[in-house]
Amino acid sequence: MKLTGSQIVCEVLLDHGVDTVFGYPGGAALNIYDELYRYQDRITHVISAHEQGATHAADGYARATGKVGVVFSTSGPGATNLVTGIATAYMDSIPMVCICSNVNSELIGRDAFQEIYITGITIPITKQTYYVNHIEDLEPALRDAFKVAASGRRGPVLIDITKDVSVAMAEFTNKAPLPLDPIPEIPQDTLQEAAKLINNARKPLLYVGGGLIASSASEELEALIDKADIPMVHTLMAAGAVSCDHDLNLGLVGMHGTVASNRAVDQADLVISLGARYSDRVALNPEKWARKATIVQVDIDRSEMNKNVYVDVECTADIKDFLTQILPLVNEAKHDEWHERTVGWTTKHRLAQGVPGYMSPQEILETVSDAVGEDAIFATDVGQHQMWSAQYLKHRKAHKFLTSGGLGTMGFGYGAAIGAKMGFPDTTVVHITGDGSFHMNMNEACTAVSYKLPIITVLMDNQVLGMVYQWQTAFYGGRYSNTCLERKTDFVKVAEGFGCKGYRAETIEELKAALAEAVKSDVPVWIQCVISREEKVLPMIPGGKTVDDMIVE
Amino acid sequence: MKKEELKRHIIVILALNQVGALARIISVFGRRGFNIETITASPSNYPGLTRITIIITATDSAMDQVLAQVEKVELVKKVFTPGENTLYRELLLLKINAKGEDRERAMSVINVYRGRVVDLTSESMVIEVTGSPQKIGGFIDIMNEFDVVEICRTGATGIEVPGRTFDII
Repeated sequence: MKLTGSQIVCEVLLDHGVDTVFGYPGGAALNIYDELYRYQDRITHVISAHEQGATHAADGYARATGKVGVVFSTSGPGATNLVTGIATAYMDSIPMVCICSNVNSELIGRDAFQEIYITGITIPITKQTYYVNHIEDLEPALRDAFKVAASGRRGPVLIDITKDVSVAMAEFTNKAPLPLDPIPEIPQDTLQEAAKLINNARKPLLYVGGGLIASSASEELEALIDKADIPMVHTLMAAGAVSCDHDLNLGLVGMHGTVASNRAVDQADLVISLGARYSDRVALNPEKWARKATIVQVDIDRSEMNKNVYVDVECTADIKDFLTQILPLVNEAKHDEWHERTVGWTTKHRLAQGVPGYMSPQEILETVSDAVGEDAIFATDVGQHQMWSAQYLKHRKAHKFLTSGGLGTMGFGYGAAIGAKMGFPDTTVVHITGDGSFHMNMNEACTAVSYKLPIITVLMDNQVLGMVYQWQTAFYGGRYSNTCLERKTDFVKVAEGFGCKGYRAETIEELKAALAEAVKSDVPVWIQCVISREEKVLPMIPGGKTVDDMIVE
Repeated sequence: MKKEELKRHIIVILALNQVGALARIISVFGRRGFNIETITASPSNYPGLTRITIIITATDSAMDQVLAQVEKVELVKKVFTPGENTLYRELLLLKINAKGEDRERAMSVINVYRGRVVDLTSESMVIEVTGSPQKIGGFIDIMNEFDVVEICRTGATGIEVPGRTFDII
C-alpha cells in the first residue's frame, strides 16, 4: 500500500499504540496536521498554548502512564520551543518521541523562513536524532525512534521531517513495534557477591532513585525491605517508590532530605543504590558520602557506574530484574538495633512550626493530600514548593509524583499535569506550584479549560522567588536581588479569565472549603494559598557539605 | 579521592556513517569537558561503519567514564582502546622556505626520516613524512631550525598487530 509521509507518521503511531499526542501546528507541519485531522477518531491531538507546554505534557503523560510521550511541532521556533521540555525529559530519563517538521529539502541550509537545524541543537539532550529528507528513511526512523526512546535507560529522541517528505509517497505495511534492546544479563557472581554483602551487613541501607520507578519495581523493593529488614531512603525522583507509611521508608535523602535519611547514609555499613545517580543534590560531598559503607550500585546505564561516587560493586541491570533475582539469595534477617536507630531518627527532630499568622507549607500539603486521597497524581513546578511537596505530601504509590528532578524546570508542572490528566481522565490531578513558577507557564490553563481537564492547582504564594530568597537570606547577607516580586497578579481573577475557578485561602479552613469545591469541579481550579516569605525549606545541607553541617532550624 | 595523573589515551570508535554522527560523538567529549587532541575518521572494512581514532589526555577514571558515555551513543557500534601491540601512523605535510645550502641541509634530514619532497619552487619546498606520532614530532623539532612556513598533520590512526576481530551486529 502506498502512503504519504504524513500517513506513515500516523500509521506508525497507531502501530505503537499511541492514541494521545501533544503539539502545535505551523507552516512546515501543515501536511502532517492535515493527516492528524483525518486520524482524529484514533489519535487525540492536544493543542497547547506554547510548544514548551506540549513537551511537558507529553513528558507528564509518559511519567504517569509509563508509555512513550509523543509531541509534534513545526519548524523553526516551534522546534526551538521544545528544547527545554526535551532537556527536562532527558535529565529524568523520560521516554519521548518528538516529531518536528522542517522546510522543504531544497531550502535546507539556505536560512529559509522558520528553518532551524534542530537535530543539531538537540544533540546533547536526546538519545538520538533523525533527520529525514528522503521518504524511504521515514518509516525506519520512526520505528527506531520508539525503540530507542523506550530501551535501556529511557529518554527523548527527535525526528525532523522535511515538508516534501510529508507528502512524498512510499510503500507501507503495518507492523508490530521493534523489540526493545534486551536488558543486560546479571552475572551470577555479582548477584552472589551482592547477596553476601546484604547477608553479612549489620547496617544495610537501600538508596532508591528514579530507575526504580522507571522499572516499576515497587513490589519487589518492598519484598526485599521486609525480608531482610533494610531501611530505605529515596531521591526526589523516587517519591512513592514505597509508601510513606512504611516505617522503614526514612524519606527523602540529600540537600533537603530528612535527618533520618542523611544520618542513615552516613552511618550505614552497606549502601545498595537502585537506579540512583549520586547527584550533587544527594551526594553533596562525594568523598564523604556513605563514608563507612561498602557501596553496591545497580543501574541500567553502565556509564552511571563510578560517575560521581566510587563504588565497590557495579551491577549493570534492570532494577526489577535485579531485585527479582536477588530476593531468593537474601536471608530473612532482623537488624534490631539498626532498625530502631534509623526509625528512631524519623520520630525525633520534628521541624520548627510555621510563621505565626500564616498557614505552614506542611499543613497545606497534608491537607491537600488528605482531600484528594492516595490515588491522586501530583505534578510540581520547581522551587520551595517542590521540596515541600517531596517532604510533606503523603506519597504512597509510584508514578504519582511528577517533578523535574534533574533539570529543575520552573514551568514544568502545569503541562505535566495536563499530560497526566489526559492519561488518567478519572484520576484527580493536583498541580502544586509557586507564584514564581506559575507565572512561567500559566498560559497552559487555556489548554486545561479547552479539554475540560479539572486539574487542581495549589499555588503557594509568598510573593518572592522563595528558594533563591532563602539562599540570599542564608548566604548573601539578605541582599534580595530580583527575588521580591511584589507582583499585582490577582490569581482569582486570572483564573476566571481563563475559564477556571479561582479561590484564595489564608487559613486551613478556607483551604479545606476550596478543596471540597475543587474535587467536585468539572473545570480547572486554582487555589491561591497565602504563605509567609520567611518559610524555609528545612532541613538543609549546604552544597558540598555533609550531614554534620545540617541546618534543621 | 586520590589525585590521578593525566595520561594520553587513544580511543577507536566504529560508528554508523550517518549525517551528524561525528557531531554527536564529538559532543560527548565536549559535554564531559574533554579536549580532543587529534581525531581521524574514515570508512572502515565494515560497510556503513566509519572508523574514528581519537587521542585525548585524561585520568584513567575520567577515561573510563567517557568510554562508557561514548558506548551509550546509539550510532556507536564498537568502542575500544587499542592494546600495547598497536602500530600508529600519521601523515605530515610541512612547508619551508629554503634555498642553496639550507636546502641541502634540509634534504639530509628529510632522507634520514624517509620523507619525500612533493613540491619544489625556487623559494620553498613541501615535504611529506609518514610515521608514528613520535617520529613526526621528532622530525618537526629538527625542521624548526629552518624557516617553517606551514605545518599540517593528520593525527594518528592505529591498528593492532595481530588484528582484533569485532563482533558487530
